[in-house]
Amino acid sequence: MKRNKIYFLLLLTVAMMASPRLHAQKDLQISKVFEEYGKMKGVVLVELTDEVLGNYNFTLFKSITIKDNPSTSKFIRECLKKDESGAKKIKQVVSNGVPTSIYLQLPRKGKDNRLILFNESKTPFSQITLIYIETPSDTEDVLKLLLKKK
Amino acid sequence: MNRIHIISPEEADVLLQKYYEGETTNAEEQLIVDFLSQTKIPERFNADKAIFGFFAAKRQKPKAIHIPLMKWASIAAVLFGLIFLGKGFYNDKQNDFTYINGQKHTDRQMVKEQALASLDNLSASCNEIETSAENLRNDDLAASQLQIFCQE
Amino acid sequence: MNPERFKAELVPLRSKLLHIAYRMLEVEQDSEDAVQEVFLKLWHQRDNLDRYDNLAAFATTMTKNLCIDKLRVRNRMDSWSEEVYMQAGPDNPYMQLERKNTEQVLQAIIEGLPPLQRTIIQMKDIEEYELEQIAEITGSKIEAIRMNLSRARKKVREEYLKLTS
Repeated sequence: MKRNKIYFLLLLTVAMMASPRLHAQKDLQISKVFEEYGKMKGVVLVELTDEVLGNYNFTLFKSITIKDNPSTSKFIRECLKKDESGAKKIKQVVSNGVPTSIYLQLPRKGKDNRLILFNESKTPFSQITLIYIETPSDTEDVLKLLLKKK
Repeated sequence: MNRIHIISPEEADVLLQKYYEGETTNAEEQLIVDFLSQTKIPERFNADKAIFGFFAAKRQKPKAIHIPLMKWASIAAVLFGLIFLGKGFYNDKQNDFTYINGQKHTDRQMVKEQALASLDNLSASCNEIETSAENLRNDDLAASQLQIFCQE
Repeated sequence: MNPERFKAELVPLRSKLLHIAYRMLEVEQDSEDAVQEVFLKLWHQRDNLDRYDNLAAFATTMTKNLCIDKLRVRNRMDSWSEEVYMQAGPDNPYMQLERKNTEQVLQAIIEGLPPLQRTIIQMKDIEEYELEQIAEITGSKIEAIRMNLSRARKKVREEYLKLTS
């Protein structure tokens, strides 16, 4: 099983290097997060293009969810800090002095608005979620959709 | 001397009809297999023979095929490189995927579900923060910051 | 998630999911098929299900999205019937499989089946599940599974004959 996993990863490294989509956010530091942690155990990585979710159009949707690995938080937050410097809008939820949720609205790319959403929760278990979105829809509307209470 | 009872072609016709209706028992399917394993059977059974043979082979094949790692990796790397070079960089939907624990899945349905699940993580934590903010009676700041995120 | 928990937690959702599917698809057979497909997908993901807080919501979303996809296909499919799912056609890859061996032809045919039929035929004829087991997993009547198995097997034979004659 381990052998299978190794050459599977090798195949996909080659495949991923040729994949055009990763270059879409090449200018962003967070693209490193997807590359670095995307295929690890305890991680769910998603990439969707041209999809409709809950009545809103998404040109690109990328997310990574990292479970039980709080040490990754440091690197991710560093990437976010760098991408923050180019952001149009920043919103945060801070708890005990630490931002637990961060939302960045980045400069548009063509007709698409770009958003980064980050959340780190510690209870009941450590879970870090990072989402990158490109959408032609209005960002406030999309944000309300994404963050509405369950 | 024990001989396996081989059914006649006419009996095979009947059982095969049952098979394609999904109604055969395991024992009946074994009778079909024994019949089809013969070297000389009427031509009308050729397709059935192929199908049964296919499933039998699939059942027996172990899931993991052990190929020397480096040989496989290098062959595959070259192939994938060629395939993707050939494909060029066009926007196609087969690029949609999800990796769960390092395993790739491209079933679109599953990918969408994972996307929605990751969004749920964000709104879930909104609930958590809100609950804990309610408990911190003096922490108005956190609660008002929460407003920004968790508007209905 | 083990089989017992799967049956205890998910199968009870069946009637709710069936209701949702029927409201969207409006055809009893299609909604039954949709629910079977959802349960079989959940079954094959059962190792990952523990990460979800709200399984009912997850299953509901899966059902809705599946039905949306089916409706999209239905709208496109008017004069095509099941050909849309089947990759068989003069310009397609496995017409060139004529000279390749039987195994590859059949593999391609099975991969071209509609997802539900493909899953059921795989589970029954390759993984050797019993019909009763599949019925238990999906909360369906055995007859409903048998019907899809029959369709799948017939389709495989039909396609094989088309490609090899």
